[in-house]
Amino acid sequence: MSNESQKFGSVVLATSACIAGCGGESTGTVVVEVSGEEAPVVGYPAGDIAFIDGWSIDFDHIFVAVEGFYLAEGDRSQTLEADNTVIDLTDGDQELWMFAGVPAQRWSDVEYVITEPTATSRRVGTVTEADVTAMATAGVSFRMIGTATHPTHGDYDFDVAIPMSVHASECVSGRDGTDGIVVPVNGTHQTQITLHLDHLFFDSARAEEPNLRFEAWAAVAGDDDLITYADLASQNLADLVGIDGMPLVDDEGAPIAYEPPASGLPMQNLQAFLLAEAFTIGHFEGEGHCDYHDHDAH
Amino acid sequence: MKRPVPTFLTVLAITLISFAACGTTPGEPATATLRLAPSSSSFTTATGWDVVLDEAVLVAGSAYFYAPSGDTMASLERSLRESLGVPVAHAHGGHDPFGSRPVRLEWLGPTSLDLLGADTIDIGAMDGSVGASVEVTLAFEPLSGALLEASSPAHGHHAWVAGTATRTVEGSTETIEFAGGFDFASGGTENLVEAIPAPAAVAADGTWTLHVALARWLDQARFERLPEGPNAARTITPSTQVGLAWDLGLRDPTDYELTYEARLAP
Repeated sequence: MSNESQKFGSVVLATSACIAGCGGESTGTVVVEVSGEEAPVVGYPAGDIAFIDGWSIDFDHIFVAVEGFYLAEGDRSQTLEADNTVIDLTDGDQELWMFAGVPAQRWSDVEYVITEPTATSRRVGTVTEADVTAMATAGVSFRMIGTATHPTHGDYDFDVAIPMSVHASECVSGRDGTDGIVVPVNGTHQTQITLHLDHLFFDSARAEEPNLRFEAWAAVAGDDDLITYADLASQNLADLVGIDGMPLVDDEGAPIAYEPPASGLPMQNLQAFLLAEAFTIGHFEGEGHCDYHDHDAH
Repeated sequence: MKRPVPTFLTVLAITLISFAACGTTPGEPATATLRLAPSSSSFTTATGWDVVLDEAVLVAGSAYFYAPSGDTMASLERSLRESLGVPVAHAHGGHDPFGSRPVRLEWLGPTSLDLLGADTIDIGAMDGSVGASVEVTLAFEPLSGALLEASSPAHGHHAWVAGTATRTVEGSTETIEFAGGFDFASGGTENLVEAIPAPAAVAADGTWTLHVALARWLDQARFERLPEGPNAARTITPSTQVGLAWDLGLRDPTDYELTYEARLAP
């Protein structure tokens, strides 16, 4: 089946037991969309989110591979979708799935996965077969392509493909602070996987209000001024280097610090820091947090 | 999310614990002694400095040994003790500091630890329940009282180091004396070191020994960048590269190793 026939709004039925009409149970519909909010479309600064070190960002593409949407309440569960779908967040908010016949009740545990696609993964919006093949070949679930600009340092292109595999579970709704969703009787719950891209540029995994920074990224660009995920491994968090090749310091001469999570990093470099931060970009219905686990180990 | 424990579960817990077999029944009360092994005061950093520490102190606040997720016996034991008004390590949901995790054992300080002692010493007693443990979180609560005094072993800080660093470059030997304190901020996970591996089958009695890899604390330190000051010893502060390297090193869970030995009843 070609991807062209799998359009926005296509109906996918729940695959587990007790769907519409089973024992007369009331049901409703769940519509799932994915959003990067305004940043993928307008770049950074976006609203009041801006880089503290003066950089601005324009995105050409932000490819994300989402796989699966699961509901659970007590010992009852629903696997609503399991196949991998690739979207481009620069297309704006995208509707991924519409599920009819979902038992009408609260489902406290909402789960989804971000993991690498296969060459035959479903595509939404402007995503091409070549885009998906490139991600599948590289084993990456997230790829952002764009340009960072600084009034003094100029333009730096980036093509950062992150091999993360994340299982988000027990998602809390950012709309009302409750666990999961409520499917209304004969109604529709419009839900959203919200990706917070600013996390990728945070300088702290612990601070209440981290800053967004980019110079440490620009400093490891190759001779073609292109920044890749591999380049970031050369930035030692204990001794960050600036574009001028000197220690990266603030206005008072203190070293710029990227603060790892309390659970540590496998390596003390900017690549490992970015991967840890990428694990947390998936949110739910706006600002709602989830629990994040390594999907490959889940 | 914390849920109230129904009365019948409390009664059931008491019954189960009363009939528990000696030493290995999951959920049976467990005690343990937390000990500290001495660390090596001499090491060579990845940055090429030979370091000799004269002082190395860590003021630990508390330690939480976690059971595997879904371990209901650990949760039951904790809930029972809470229902009896016994203070216990608490779990919170979502991205809050401790997460919703069952606690196997806990140690409550604070205690100032001399990491350069000659012998393994007892830090204190822990209590909890029999069963599997998987990992540990060290917490560093705000200091108070005598621990805040400059005359305290850690000079009023959560951690303190003092010593000398020496290197020879192109035939020229350079020696730098250094000293400084480190402080954890409060809030969120700022004062936690998480995910320290501690896999063990915790019995009713046993010992846990903490090993601190001091060499990793300062492994990325560039002592040549420590600014000179009025004293012979250059001061490590958060605004120095050495302070940043120490921050990253001290917070690294791989710097800490915990080994367990059960004391089984005859």
